[in-house]
Amino acid sequence: MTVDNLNQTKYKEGFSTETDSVSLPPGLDESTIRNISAIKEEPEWLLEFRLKAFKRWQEMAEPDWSELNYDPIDYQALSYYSAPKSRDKDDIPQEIFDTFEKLGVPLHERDALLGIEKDPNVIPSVAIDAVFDSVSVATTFKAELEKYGIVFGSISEAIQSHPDLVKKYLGSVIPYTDNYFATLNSAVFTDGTFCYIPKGVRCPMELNTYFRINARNTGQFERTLIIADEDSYVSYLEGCTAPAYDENTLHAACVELVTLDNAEIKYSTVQNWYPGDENGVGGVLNFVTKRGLCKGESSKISWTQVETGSAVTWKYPSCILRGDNSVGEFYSVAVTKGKQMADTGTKMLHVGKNTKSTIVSKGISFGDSSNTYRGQVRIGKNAHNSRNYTQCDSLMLDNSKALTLPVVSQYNNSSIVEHEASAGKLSEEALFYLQSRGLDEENAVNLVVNGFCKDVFQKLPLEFAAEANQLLNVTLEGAVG
Amino acid sequence: MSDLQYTISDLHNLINIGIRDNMLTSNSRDNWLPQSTENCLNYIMQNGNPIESTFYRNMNIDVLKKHLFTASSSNSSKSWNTHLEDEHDLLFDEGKVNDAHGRLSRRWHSNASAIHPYKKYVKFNNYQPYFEPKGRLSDLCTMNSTGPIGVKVKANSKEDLSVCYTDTFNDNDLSCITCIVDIGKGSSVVIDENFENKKDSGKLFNIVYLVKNGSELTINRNYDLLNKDSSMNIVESRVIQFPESKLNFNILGEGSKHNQDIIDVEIHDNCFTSIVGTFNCFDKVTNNTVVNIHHKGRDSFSRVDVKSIVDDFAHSSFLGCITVDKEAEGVDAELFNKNLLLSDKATAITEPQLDINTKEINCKHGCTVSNVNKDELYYLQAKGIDTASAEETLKKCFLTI
Amino acid sequence: MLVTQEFTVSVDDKPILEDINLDFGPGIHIIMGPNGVGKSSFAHALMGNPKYQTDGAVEFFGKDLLAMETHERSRAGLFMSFQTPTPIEGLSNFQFIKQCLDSKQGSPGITETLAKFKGLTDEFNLPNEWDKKHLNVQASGGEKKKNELIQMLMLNSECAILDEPDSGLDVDALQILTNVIQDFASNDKIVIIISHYESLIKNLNVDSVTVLGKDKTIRGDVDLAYQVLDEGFKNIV
Repeated sequence: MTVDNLNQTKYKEGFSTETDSVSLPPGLDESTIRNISAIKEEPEWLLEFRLKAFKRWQEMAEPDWSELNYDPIDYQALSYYSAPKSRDKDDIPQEIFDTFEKLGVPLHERDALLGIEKDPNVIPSVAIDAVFDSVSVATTFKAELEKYGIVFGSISEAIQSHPDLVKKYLGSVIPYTDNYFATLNSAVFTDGTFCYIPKGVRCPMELNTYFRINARNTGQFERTLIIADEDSYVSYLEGCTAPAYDENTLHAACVELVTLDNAEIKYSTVQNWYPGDENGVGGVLNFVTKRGLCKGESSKISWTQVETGSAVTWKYPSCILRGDNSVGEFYSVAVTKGKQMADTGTKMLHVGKNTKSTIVSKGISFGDSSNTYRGQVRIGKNAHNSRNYTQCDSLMLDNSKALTLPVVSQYNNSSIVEHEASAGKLSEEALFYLQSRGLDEENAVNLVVNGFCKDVFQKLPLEFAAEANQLLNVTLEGAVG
Repeated sequence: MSDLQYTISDLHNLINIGIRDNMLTSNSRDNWLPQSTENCLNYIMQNGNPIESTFYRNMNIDVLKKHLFTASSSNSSKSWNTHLEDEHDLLFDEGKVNDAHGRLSRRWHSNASAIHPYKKYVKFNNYQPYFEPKGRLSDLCTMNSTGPIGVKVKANSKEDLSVCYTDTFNDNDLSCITCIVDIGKGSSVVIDENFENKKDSGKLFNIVYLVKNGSELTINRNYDLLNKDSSMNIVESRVIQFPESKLNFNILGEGSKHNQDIIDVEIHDNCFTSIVGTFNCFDKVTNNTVVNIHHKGRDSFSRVDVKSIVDDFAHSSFLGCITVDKEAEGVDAELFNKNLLLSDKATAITEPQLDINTKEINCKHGCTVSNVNKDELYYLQAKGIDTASAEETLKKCFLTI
Repeated sequence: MLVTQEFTVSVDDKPILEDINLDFGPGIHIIMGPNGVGKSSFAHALMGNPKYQTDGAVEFFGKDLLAMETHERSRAGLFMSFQTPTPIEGLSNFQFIKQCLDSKQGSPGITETLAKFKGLTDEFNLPNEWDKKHLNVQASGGEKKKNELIQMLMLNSECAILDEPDSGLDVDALQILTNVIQDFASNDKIVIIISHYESLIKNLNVDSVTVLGKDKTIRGDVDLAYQVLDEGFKNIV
């Protein structure tokens, strides 16, 4: 195995699906926004929200401070809405279900179809909301969840069924003015996941949204909003893939999380968007704004991400620790190879007292790729007795680029911030030791790399830890220089 | 923290006013200067953001403006002639001179008057490449200084040098000093640098240190500012370490109304670099340190260790970057910044960075911001040491380890 | 005399020990109790550790102990040997002792102090150049305990509370410890030892034994200690 082989591993999710879809013509102006809002039969207040954001977006300039290089995006050449032809959930085309099947995402409530009696004591472990291009096509176990008072499903539906909740929290964590891509998203978002966990409820299953971009020249702008009311808990995972097209596909999502007193949201992402070919052609541009607000006291938000795909990744899942005693966590593994570029990291903003944050970021880079960690830890002057611990490690499998750019600012003297970072290559001693015990080079590398990522993988929900491991191994195939 | 706010447009405005009022003019006589004033200013403006971090953003542009204009208005063009007439200490010197104590030493002053080795301009041309504009205040400094000073130590010699940058002029002066320190191959040199601001004054420095092949340079820099809360120092030091050279750079400071140390070190093959900064900031001072270590060559070793104790209303900020080029294999580089905040109004910002382009390295950085460790404090108190003494002891420990 | 009256110790406002009424005069006193009952907390609370909140009263040689700051309690004659001594990088063993002594009035000069210190480190079989080593840094458990003992001897306080001074000591060191404690106590000092170690208890002239239980406290003489060592805590508290 040589380094030359590493960029040629096939992206097995690269197939595309032939299906009848309804799309808006490419272009973005006020009428596009109104069309989207009309197709979705949205209430007036939401159209206002979109229009305000659109107006603002027209005045903004795309940010250029990152370490990323990508071809300029022609916003007028993208279509902002594409959905499978029939919108009725019970009548979704078979090929779409097949797509998800092929991707390994089970959507049928299989037992029900086969007429098998459901055992009331067995709670299914994962509920899935599947999003194909711009719409949510299926949500499993919705009825089960409703028994607990949990709302989980498409945000478009939630806008109709729970308008007060959506109105109260939409834009409360990421204001529509926040940044260029969040503003664009606020104007043109088409669907996404909405989740509400009522007081005192511990969500009995993993909630999973699976995003699949399919149509060419479409931007995917989903909007996710998760609210955990007092004393509640939810663990949520999002998975993403896209076909291998020659053009860049833009994915500019917004995710807002809110936790009230004593609530906890665990948000995990396994991202495997198409990374582009070995020459850096095509690939998804992943510009996401993710932010959590620990509004209530003793609340907790933890972000766990495994990023292996997309040509360009630009995201900083962040936590605003407003409630006293709240906790924010960020665990990340970002792998870049070929010509991929990642500029990712987190912001932990300590506002309340006794707040704690932990950041563990592991970057693995090889080929001509560049992997940047950008972080901010800010201890505000009233955030007494707060603590932060950050650990960033960069593992370079060959001479790629690893950048670590943290900023720490502290405005009171009763808090403690500790930050450590290192960069280096695979330990030759470790590899030699494993090989001397009979492992071949590829397996030895996989073991050592998995060990490197252990702290992060441990944080993933059980069901997905194995998947993440497997994804990492596939991504690293051939990466031994 | 205070009201220090600064934007790029402030700097642009400053430059524009300078040009408009003829305070910054092209110097035709100084053909050793890297470029004409206009080119230099254009470079600063085009490169948009010479200011890379919050550190620069904290600079008080009003203080700078005040100093720059007052100085310029009193040092109008006619004062050039004054300088020519004065008696000056030897400034640009080759080789050694024995003084009365029989010890090899060189003492040189720096103030606007004591510099004009016109005759030696030819030699300065050799150093021109090291003053290429960087788009920073050091460019302004070089343009505005009345001429460079410096020292060149012959190859294979041993020297103990000291320099004291002090004030002899009026209050409210801004001095711009450009300095070259050329350490010849195989030499071993120790320089004691003292920065003394006796009155309310401001100084901009642009110092280039060339540590040639196989030589060793130790710089002991000490800030002894009498009127800390009203004086300002911005010192840019650029060190170029030629292969197989050693650098020990020790800085002791207490901040000032606005104190900045910007240290860029360019390191080639097989070098050793150690930068140790110790800052004890209290009252209302600010201290800012920027250390950029750029490993261009192979198998070099560098350690950066900057510690600040921040008390009362003081503020300390640190930006440190280790850059390792693709060709710089075998490099072992570490950078640490530790801050001890003792009072409720003390603040600190720290940005340690890594930019690594090869895997054959060992690179680490770390930073901490904290108060005195409560467990350690209690242990000392339980053995009879009162709170104030215990804190003093722990402060001393912080600086030693 | 050290006298506690309705002494309550709490952490985060949750009480650990309540209404403890004990008195200690010159001599050797043993405190025993199941793990986690709060023996160390008792000692720390007497010393004024900010982690603990206290209620009730403690009289120390006629003075109000709880009204004093930690260092004031030490200077008033109270010494505590920590169960887990805190390491402090950058401060050498000798520098530390010197500083402690300097804050007590009537301390001898540096030469005398250093001589006495070195004498003790030799007696306790500590490695060479112990005076230069950093306080409790990279020292074994036994070495740290020896450090605490040396501090007790050099500070020569009127009342010493020793929190498990025997843990980590080998047979020889244990012998030294026993002799040192006996010697120290014979000078009219109050020595309070938290320990379960039979060897130690057997070889000392114990004046009283206190067993701290979750809800009750029992006082007795050395026979009580043997009873506990035989039967365990369950039946007694």
